[in-house]
Amino acid sequence: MHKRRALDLRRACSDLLNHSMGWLGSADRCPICCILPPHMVDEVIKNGDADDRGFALETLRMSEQFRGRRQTVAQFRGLVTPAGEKRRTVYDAKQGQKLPGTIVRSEGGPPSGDPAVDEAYDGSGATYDFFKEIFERNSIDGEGLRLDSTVHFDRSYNNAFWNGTQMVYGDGDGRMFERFTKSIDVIGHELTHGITQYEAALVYQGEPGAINESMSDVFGIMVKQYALKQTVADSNWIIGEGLFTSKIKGVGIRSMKAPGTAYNDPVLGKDPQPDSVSTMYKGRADNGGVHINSGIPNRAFYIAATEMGGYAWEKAGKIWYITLRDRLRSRANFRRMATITLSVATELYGGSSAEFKAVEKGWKTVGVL
Amino acid sequence: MHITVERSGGFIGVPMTRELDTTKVSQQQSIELETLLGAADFFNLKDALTQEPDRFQYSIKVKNHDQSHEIHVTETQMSDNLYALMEKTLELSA
Repeated sequence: MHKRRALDLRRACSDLLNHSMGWLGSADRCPICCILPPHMVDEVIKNGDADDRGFALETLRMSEQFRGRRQTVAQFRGLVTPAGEKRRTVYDAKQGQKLPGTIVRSEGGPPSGDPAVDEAYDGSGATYDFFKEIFERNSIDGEGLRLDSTVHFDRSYNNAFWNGTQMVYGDGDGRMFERFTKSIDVIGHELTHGITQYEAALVYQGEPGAINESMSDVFGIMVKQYALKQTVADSNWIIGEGLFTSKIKGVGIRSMKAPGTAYNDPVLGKDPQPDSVSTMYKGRADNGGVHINSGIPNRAFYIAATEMGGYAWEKAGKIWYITLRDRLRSRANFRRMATITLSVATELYGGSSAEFKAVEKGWKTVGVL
Repeated sequence: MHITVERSGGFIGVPMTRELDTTKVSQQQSIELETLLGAADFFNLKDALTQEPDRFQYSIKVKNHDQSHEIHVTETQMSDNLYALMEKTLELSA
């Protein structure tokens, strides 16, 4: 295809979008973009200039979500020049609630000597490296978005969160909880909330909210496993190991292997996570139990990954990543999540493969299928 | 006055419930709670739940003489006075 034809296609697309703006909204956020025939898009990728390629790849990426041809995208990834690279900045809120706070460490800077600062820096770096090296993803948005973290948020704050633009960590109260940067999977968990925001944008309520939470645990534990080079058999599959002080009877915040067994303490109570849909939480607290019912898809992933063996990120993680990046819609429920992961497993490994059967076993065991 | 605070969510997702009978605390502490309740305009507050990842959610219920009111709110939607009322209740009921 000649370059001029590629440009004509871009203009045609642009015209179509302009005519459709009345109900489609902004061209930047257009949910269907301009879906060109696949062979034309491929030609633009091969023969167009950098701008054309970027446009065509984005078109292809969007259209893959409808046509299920996402593997093609991966073949052309090397042609795209990343907009950014690893850029970490750690801020100190100094026990206040104002974000982001004061800069204490930037990319390439020396260790600060403050464990929370250096753990946030190292943990966000390990998470960036995991997604870059395993899934060829350049940061949270796929385009090198800077990784900002704030530590020492609020006083005795027993929490960590992603606020839509950055990660935030409390120091813990020291009585029940340690600082929240102490566990690398917590950092992976928070950063994955950012990725989910840019990809499936799962609604943070009910079943899609529990899938959102589970995705953060799934990639959070893989960040830890990758950093420690742990196989599925080596990992203890505990989220938030080390966050409890020695006074609390518990091994961590959640168990992906055995949801509901992470802690049982006179002060904190018992881990409320169900391990199957038969005991699913149906109340209104916690956005309809997003941190409670996440135990169900967490266990499904654990079973799928351990059935496959080896490193979790090699096969099960790949299936879950493609599901999150390209397939899941914002209101997906557990059943939809199960059918999509099975569909992706079929595309990657075949419908009668051991990998397909492993995913199927996971969802059947937790009662989703 | 009787105050019940239920917390859910957060990264930890550990549910917590605390109850406080203000007749069981000092007069000074009771006055402080009454002051915060008034400053927060608690009995006119409405639910304010959002869908923000890993943020705490609170259900706060207050029974005071013939008044009773309950709200459900995400921590980011709480005024300084309401936040202080919640913190003081947790501190005194611990």
